[in-house]
Amino acid sequence: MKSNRIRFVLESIVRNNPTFVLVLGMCPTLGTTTSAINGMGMGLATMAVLILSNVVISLIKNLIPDKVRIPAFIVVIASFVTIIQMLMQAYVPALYGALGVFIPLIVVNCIILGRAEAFASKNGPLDSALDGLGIGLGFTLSLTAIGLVREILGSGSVFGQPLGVADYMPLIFVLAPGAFLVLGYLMVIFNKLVKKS
Amino acid sequence: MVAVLFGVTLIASLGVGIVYRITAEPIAAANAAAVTEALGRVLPPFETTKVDTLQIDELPITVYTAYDASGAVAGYAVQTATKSGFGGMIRMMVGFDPEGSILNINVLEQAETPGLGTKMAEEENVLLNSIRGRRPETMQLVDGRIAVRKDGGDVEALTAATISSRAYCDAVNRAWMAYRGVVTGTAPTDVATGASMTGGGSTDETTASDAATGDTSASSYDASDAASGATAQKTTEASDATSGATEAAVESSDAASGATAASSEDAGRHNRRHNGARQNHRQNGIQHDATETDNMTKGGAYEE
Amino acid sequence: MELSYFAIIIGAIFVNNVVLAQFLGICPFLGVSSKVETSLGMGAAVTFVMAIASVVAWLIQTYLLVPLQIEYMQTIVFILVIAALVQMVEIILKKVSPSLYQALGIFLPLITTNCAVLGVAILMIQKEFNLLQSVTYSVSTAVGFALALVLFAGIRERLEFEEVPEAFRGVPIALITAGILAMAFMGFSGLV
Repeated sequence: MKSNRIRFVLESIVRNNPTFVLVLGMCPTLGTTTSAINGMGMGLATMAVLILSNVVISLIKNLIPDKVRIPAFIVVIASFVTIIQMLMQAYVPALYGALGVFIPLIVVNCIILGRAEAFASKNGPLDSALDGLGIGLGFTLSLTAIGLVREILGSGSVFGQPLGVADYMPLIFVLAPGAFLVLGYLMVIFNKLVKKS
Repeated sequence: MVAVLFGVTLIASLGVGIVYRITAEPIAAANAAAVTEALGRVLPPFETTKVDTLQIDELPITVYTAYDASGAVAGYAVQTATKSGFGGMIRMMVGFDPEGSILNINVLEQAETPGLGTKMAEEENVLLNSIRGRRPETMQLVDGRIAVRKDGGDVEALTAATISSRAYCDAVNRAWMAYRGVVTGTAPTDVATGASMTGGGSTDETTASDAATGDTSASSYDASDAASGATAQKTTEASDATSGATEAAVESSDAASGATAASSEDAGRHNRRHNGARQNHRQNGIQHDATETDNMTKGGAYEE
Repeated sequence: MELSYFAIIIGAIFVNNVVLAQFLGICPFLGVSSKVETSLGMGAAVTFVMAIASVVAWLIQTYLLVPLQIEYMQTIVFILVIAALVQMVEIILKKVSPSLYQALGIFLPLITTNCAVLGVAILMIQKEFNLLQSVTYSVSTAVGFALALVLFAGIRERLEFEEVPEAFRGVPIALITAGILAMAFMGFSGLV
């Protein structure tokens, strides 16, 4: 049972990776991955909201009539987003500034409402939390990876540590087109490696 | 059904409200820390600051007058803003030395085009380099304002970001205007074409810190209020507020200046104005609570 | 010197294109953009909703959230308002103009989760626009969204007939195409 659960988490990180396989939550994926730190911050913020909303929704699922299910879920998610937003503003103001409008936009991230609807509304709180953890980690890892690639290629640094080659790096990778290109090519690599095996 | 939804919303709002209460203070502290850091970047080391708030075209401007340990003016930092940026608001801190040369500029907030307009926030950029170390008076002025080369001035604009560069100049102009207002106490209408400047009020930052730190260098809020229009009050007024004309009110409630009653105003009206100004000051959302003051006083140590 | 309306319009449509430069509304951009015709429908529906949503959001922010000092409730209130608004538009459209409903109807439910609508509402508040500026901004943003969508659909219609390596098929090639389109849009950046 226990190993099943671990497997279940790992499964959602790779096989059900929200970015590369399910292709969900593309807006923050493209918009916040200008550096590895920003990508990771966004991923962690999303993960926190996902776990919390999954747990709460699985707890209150029986109290909510079917007809108002979606609005109720949206309210729960929006509250947690606002809470995370205020916490970030208070304790990591620099990251809060860098992520900007994408923090409130976690509300409309399809991953969160999607998991609430597809998983948390049918399962218990513990499983829902694990589901949130797995999907959230998958999301965080992909965002960090994309951010890392863009940061190395575009500004010649790793997690903010300059590699001393910044002047030779094409800035385009931290700009908008670079986001699309890097994600596209990473997806190709992911397809080659994972879907084949 | 509706009741359930209402219940969920109610509980959610309550939760959010509680977290808002909890985080309000750390958020204010974080904002204050950002201001302190910006002050450290644009000013030489200093001990205390005095804060004046003004409004230029409905945008709040804050002037921090920094004093070193001996009580002499170390410099002025002006927190200024403009709405004419390409991505909307740009906020920045502009540091002046006591002679009026621009020491440094630190962009606090901007949403310009990445890679183009965002260069204004970098520590070295052509905009900053063509302004830093110069007195705005000695620059090529257009209608009394600094301007980018394209508009006849001598500020080097950022490549492919003319709107952002114009906005940058606009913010610096506002800072300069506010700086002159505070230093000379005159209404700078002659250079402020189309822009009106209204005095918001002035608080002595060291005064505000009294309650918290027990500092005795200046009189307390209440004392200075009571003394409005009396001995420890020096007031310079350019023109009447009620006339609707452009005006700048620069008030210095520095007890240490020891100035005798220079105010020609009736004390009652002055008191009202003073109180009004203070309220305005709070509503502007610029936090002047004890935490900030505390941070600010330590600002001098920041650079070390 | 306020940012002129002209600059807002050009900026929102071309220079800071909502999809290609600000990454809002990517889901419908990748999902609905395989045919030019459906893209036009989606674009029109988004323009419609965004214009109304921006007015409502602005009024709520100015006359409700700010006076009550509960600006922190912004996200919750805005998303609920947008969701309710989309429902209302759907019902009214069904009654008043069945032909328009047929054209736009299927896109409306998708718009609730379109982050561009919420994103624009939040951004225009952040930029401290007045009501008229907000409407200008949101309509131009929506036009920019429609433009990107239609252009992209045109390219994708042609891509259908190309031999694409297996690993590139589907989303990856769409993303790479979007990257090149975004590069083309960067050419507008010196415009204003």
